[in-house]
Amino acid sequence: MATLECSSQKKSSDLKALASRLLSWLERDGPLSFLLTLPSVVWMLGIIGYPVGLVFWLSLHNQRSIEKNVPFVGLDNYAKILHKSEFWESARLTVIWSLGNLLLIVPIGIAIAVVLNLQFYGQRTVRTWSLLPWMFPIVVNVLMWRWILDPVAGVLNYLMRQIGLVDQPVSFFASRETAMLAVILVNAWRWTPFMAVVTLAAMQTISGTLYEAARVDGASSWAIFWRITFPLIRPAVANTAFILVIWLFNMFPPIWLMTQGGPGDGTATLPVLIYKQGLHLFRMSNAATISVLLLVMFIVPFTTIYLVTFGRRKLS
Amino acid sequence: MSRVAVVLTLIAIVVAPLGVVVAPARAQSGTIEIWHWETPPARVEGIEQLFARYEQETGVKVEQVPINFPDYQTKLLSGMATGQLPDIILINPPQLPILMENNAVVPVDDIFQSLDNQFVIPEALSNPYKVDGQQYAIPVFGVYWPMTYRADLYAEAGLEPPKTWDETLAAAEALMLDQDGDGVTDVYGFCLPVSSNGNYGSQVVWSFLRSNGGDIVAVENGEETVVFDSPENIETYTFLAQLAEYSPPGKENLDWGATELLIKSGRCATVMYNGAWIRELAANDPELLEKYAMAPMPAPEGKESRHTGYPRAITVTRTADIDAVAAFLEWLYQPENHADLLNIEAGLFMPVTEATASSDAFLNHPVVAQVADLVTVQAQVGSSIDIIGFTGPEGAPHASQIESSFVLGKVLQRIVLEGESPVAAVAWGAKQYQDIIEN
Repeated sequence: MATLECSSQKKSSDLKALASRLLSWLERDGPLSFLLTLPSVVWMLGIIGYPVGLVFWLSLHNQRSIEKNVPFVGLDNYAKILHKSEFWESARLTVIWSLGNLLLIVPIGIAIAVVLNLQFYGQRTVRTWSLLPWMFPIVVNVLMWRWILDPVAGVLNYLMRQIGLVDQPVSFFASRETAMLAVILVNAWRWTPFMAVVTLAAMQTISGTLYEAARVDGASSWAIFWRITFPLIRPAVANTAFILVIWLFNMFPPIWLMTQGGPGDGTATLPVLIYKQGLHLFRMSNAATISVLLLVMFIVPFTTIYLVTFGRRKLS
Repeated sequence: MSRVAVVLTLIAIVVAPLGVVVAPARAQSGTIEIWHWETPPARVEGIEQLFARYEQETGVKVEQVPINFPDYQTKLLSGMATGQLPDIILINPPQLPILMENNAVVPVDDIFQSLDNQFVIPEALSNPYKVDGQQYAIPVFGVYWPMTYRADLYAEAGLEPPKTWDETLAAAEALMLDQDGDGVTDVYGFCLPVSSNGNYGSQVVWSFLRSNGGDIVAVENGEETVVFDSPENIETYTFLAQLAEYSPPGKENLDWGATELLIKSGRCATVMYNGAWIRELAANDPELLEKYAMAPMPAPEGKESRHTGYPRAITVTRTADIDAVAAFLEWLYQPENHADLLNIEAGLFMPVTEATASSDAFLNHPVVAQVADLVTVQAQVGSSIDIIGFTGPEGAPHASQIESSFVLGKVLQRIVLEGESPVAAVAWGAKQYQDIIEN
């Protein structure tokens, strides 16, 4: 009897010890963090992995809209799209759009940050107001600019006529070149505050003693900016520019809301072409193929260059 | 981390994904759901009131889901893909092939026959929705695009509304008016859209193209042949390029909204447009409304004018309760109810049944009575409408893609904005259409 009791107690304490060990094991960094991140990983696979996989699958099949049992066509869609001048023209426009935006957003954003970093009366108000373009919903932004640029009722044409710059209303969307310039300017206007805020945040981490030392040594403001400020904000600027490039290559709403890719197809960047192929012409496979090409031709190389460059810099 | 927290975390890990897979509930049973694109607030409110009356009388709720037209096809596709379609879908003829291709809608011959027997629906309006002898949708109201012009300006200039293309050019030139003498044109001779953002630009081209006997595709035994590259179409585009000279700056961006604003501000001496501006002008500027008149679109000498227009129709989905839908439509097509639906946008929505067209409820509405001449012209052009892809006895299988490609507008843009010759631009357009039907 005593042996039985002893055995039962031993089993109970063994179980407790096992449970305790199990919980301790779970509490250790490795397994618990794995379990805690598992739902996120599954979720990400579901919301990113599945659609990306589906896009690749669609690009290898001939799907028009939502029909079932679509035929496998291998790489035919890629061959077809790569032979279309429409695709290459859109690719060219995508590069112009992205670079045009970047060339405006980055320097102007830095310049605004430099100004906002100065101490002056009303600085806080100016900082808040300068963020407004970025805070407004994009639809509001674009509609507002469409009105401003309207040749008949727009304020810009009115002002240009008043100061004698033009005799007759100017139509900014009448040619491919001016239409592209207009959408780039409007988008740059919207995104420049984002660049400015990030740059300003980076500037505010720079120790004031560096500036004091430079001034004591007689450095000019120009020299201070290029020798102290710019090297220290460069990582933040580069990271933001990189994120912007990825966004710009994929950006659809401002162009669609402003020109729908027109006039003709003069502002039809690859995202606009993808939309038209998929939802106007019901060629889902074509749309998917262009999406994959956009990823492979632009985003992957750019990301690789970025990672190699920054990876090397970190190592050095 | 405490043990309790660890256990709770584990439970959360197991339970959290369950929230994700709980599907949203479909419309409540006993409710009829209808999708449409009549999104202006006044229309949504009017439809709401009409449906509320049906619920009061029968106890059956009808829920509307207004969807912006540019998003409509996307919504239809996603609805079909997920099996989440409503009971009733408002469509134009080009949308029918997509719904049929995906087996989303059912024939409605019995309902149509019953309504036709009682209220008489003209064949010209119901035929675009007939496939292989079966009726797949029932016209519910018409929207037509005649020529709208400033009668006062034409009278001041001693001009008659143009009937031919030569007269149209002459009138457009004569009616480029600088009314305040500041050197800037205030009224434009012909507000012609040279646009491909949205369907307005292509719809205007379509009317001229058809009036000259041109077409995009010919259909025989389900096979489409591109007939766009024709002398008639080249002639039409040559004429339109001339007419574009009298269109306002910004013509390359003229869509429905912008054109309507030009009309409401009295800046167009002539324009091709439907009656969407009438109700608002009747309420806000009756004086300007009085100055407008409508007439059939001009056509080349010796040819019959044709018009852009759509008999909008109701189609019933495979999952709908057919009896409930039939009862609702029996109620809706009663002239007094049907007239209430049309008068939600009085001056724009035209009757598609003889019973409603001649009913007091329709004719005695204050706005309809006020613009009786405009309504008469619209009703008249309703008998000479053409729908892209539906010009022959058979509908084009790619009608929707052909329409939504906006190639008609893009061809005009190539000529007017980029200086391409009409011959080359039309050939380019034909290639685009060929590409559409081949893929």
